Amino acid sequence: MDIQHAHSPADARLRCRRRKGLLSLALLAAAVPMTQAQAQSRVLRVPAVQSWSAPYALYRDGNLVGGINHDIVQALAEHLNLGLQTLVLPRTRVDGAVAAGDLDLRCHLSQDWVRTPDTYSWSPPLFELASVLAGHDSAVPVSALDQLHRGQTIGTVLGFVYPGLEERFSDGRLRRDDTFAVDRNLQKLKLIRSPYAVADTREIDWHLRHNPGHQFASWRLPISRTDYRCAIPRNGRIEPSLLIAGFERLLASGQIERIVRKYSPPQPVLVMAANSPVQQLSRQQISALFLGEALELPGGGRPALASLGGELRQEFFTQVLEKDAAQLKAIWSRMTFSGRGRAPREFSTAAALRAWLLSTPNALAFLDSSNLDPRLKIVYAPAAAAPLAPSTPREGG
Amino acid sequence: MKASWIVPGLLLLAAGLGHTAPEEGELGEWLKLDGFGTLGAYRSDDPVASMRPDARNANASLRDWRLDGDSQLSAQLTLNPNGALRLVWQVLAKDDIVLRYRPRTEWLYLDYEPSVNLSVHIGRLALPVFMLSDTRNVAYAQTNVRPYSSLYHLNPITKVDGLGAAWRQPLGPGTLSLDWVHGQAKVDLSTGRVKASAINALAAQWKQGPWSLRLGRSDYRLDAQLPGTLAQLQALASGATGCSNCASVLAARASPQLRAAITTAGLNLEQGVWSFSSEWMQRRSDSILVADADAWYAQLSRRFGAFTPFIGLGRTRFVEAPLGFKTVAGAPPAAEAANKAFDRFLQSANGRRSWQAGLRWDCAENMALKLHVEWLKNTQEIRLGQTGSVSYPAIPPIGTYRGPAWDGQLRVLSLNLDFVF
Repeated sequence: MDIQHAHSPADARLRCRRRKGLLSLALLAAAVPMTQAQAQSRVLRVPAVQSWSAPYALYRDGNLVGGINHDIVQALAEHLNLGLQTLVLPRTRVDGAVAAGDLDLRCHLSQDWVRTPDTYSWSPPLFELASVLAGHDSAVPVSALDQLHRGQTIGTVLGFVYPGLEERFSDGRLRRDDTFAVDRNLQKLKLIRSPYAVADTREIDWHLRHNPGHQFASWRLPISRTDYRCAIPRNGRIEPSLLIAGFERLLASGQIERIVRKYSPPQPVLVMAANSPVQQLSRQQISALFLGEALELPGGGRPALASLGGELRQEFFTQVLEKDAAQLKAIWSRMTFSGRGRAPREFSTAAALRAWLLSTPNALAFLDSSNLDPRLKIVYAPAAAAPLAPSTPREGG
Repeated sequence: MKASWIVPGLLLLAAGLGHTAPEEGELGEWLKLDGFGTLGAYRSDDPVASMRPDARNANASLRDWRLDGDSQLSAQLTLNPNGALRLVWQVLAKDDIVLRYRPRTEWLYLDYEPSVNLSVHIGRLALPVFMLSDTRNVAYAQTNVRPYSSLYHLNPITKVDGLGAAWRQPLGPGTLSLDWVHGQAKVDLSTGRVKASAINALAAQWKQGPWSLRLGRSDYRLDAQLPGTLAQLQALASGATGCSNCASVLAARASPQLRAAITTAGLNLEQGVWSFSSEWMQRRSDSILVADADAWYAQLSRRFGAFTPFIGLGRTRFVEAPLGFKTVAGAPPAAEAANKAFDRFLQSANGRRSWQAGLRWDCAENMALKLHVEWLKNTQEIRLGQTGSVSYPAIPPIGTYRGPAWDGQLRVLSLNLDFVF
């Protein structure tokens, strides 16, 4: 097995804690004998896949030291009072490690991405992931996959499964151009080795934030949406129900959301149903519509507006409408109670908002880019903001 | 005072319920419930003149803290909110001189939009006289605690039963919108009723970016059914004060059937964190029962995150011409003084200036806490008595008050919590 052991500060803390624990155990050994199997079962063995990229994984000197995936398993281990052992693996070796019983948990996974989902117990969905097609500035913008010519190469990552594109890859309409890691795939687009690339929206956003002069075109074509889950191999040493309960508590406490937000701030995008005749809107047009100053969509039709609550809304208000929440609430209150306008409907979940967007004519709403769905299209996306303040370790594995 | 606690109690309940109101699902497609409210406390500092935040409040503060001034609760139900044809029903519970806290229908109308630019409505509608006429009760939507009394108290008719239309069209770099309303209304007072048999109002607003300009004109045909007031005028006309021409003057200038008109101009500018708004109005009528008046206000505010301090200045000036009462020859000097006093009194010469300063704090989502100080100074008369947002007793011969004189000034402190849900 090609297994490396992580040496992150977090692991050092864990080792230190473990040493203290061993000392205590030594003192108690005479009274409470502990078997080797019991001690092993208190360590959570997880893979760090080398092809992962920021913001899901941050590597330093070959060790996973941060990122969403790192923080989630660390939070789970701490919550369940388990030790944590991270095994850095190439993507192609992970299934083998699972088969050999070397792993207790895999994160950053979807049931669509594995060949045998039944060999795992699955965590509840922790958050959503969306893949989009992005293009170089010089590439022809694409609003539907059929617009790509036959045999067009698409930048992809070796071993990654792309549910929205697999059929086209297999029948030759599109061709994979694999690299071994996500960040390499995105860098390749900059060099126009592939004019198009498919990637997760958070990964693209991170890449743009940290690579000024990236030469990515502003359009995106939603390809697929899935739930981020963690999978518990049935041959692992930790009881699946214990881990699932731990995930449920992390979700309920908001810790998962906090971890995601720590690395990936909200990215509001304005969307409409994919079959809408509206192609693109300017920031001024969107602002006029949401502030009640324009009543009609370009090309005609009364828009039905909606918004999603939470932190994303603040981001949208600031980036696109250039107002704060209190100002917007006051404006929308005037529209509502004067009867002379229609304030946007507010939804609390992305799923409810998506359903409304697909069932309501001329519906226009903003949601997080990670909530994109192939049945939707982006009509406006604010430019990527500056990099997050904290310095980050090197990306990639 | 017991009743004054009812609305605040309901308000707290509503504020809690507001966060649990359903917003999604099939019900939300055809029925929408919104609401707003204010939990307000205020205190006036003068021992002689009292102040009430709304001229229609039943009670006023005379050096005491009161909760029944701005406190209110309103719910608005919209049927088919996303359709071309919809029904809007707004109910308001607020202390009122006649209704007290009984909820009343503020608006109830059918709205039809044959096109995106045009909507027509029928039912009980807001009367578009001022910039804030549509939302004068929605304190959350305003920086200040309440619309400036210098203007807004000069027109007690806020809603009409009738027809209306709104038209909006891009014009040049901005958007022009026209609002027209025609209908009738009645305003109940403790001393009677004022019926408006025909009201026409037209407002034009042009908006471009941060600028908004508004012009408005409203015309009224009124019937003042005020038995007490008319009896006093009749007493004057009968020569009770030795007036030689009161009968003819009052017949010409104090008709209870009258015509009035209000002309307004407004400006609003929102530039970044700064906001400036100003309105001017002119009221004219053919009867002293609705005295001619000019008024304006200007307000400047700046946002510092969740905090918005603001300052403002307002002025009301009554410009009704003297009636020119004459006293019969040989009458005692007191009679001449009385006729002069009545002449002045009937000019409603209670013009005043107000300085305001305050702080709005958006303390939570959908909630704003406001601290507001207002200095009021009567600039025309301070001894003839007045009943309205500022009330003070009249000395003889108008009234019977013989206590300490009012110095013409008072200060009011308000602390309001406004919310929407």
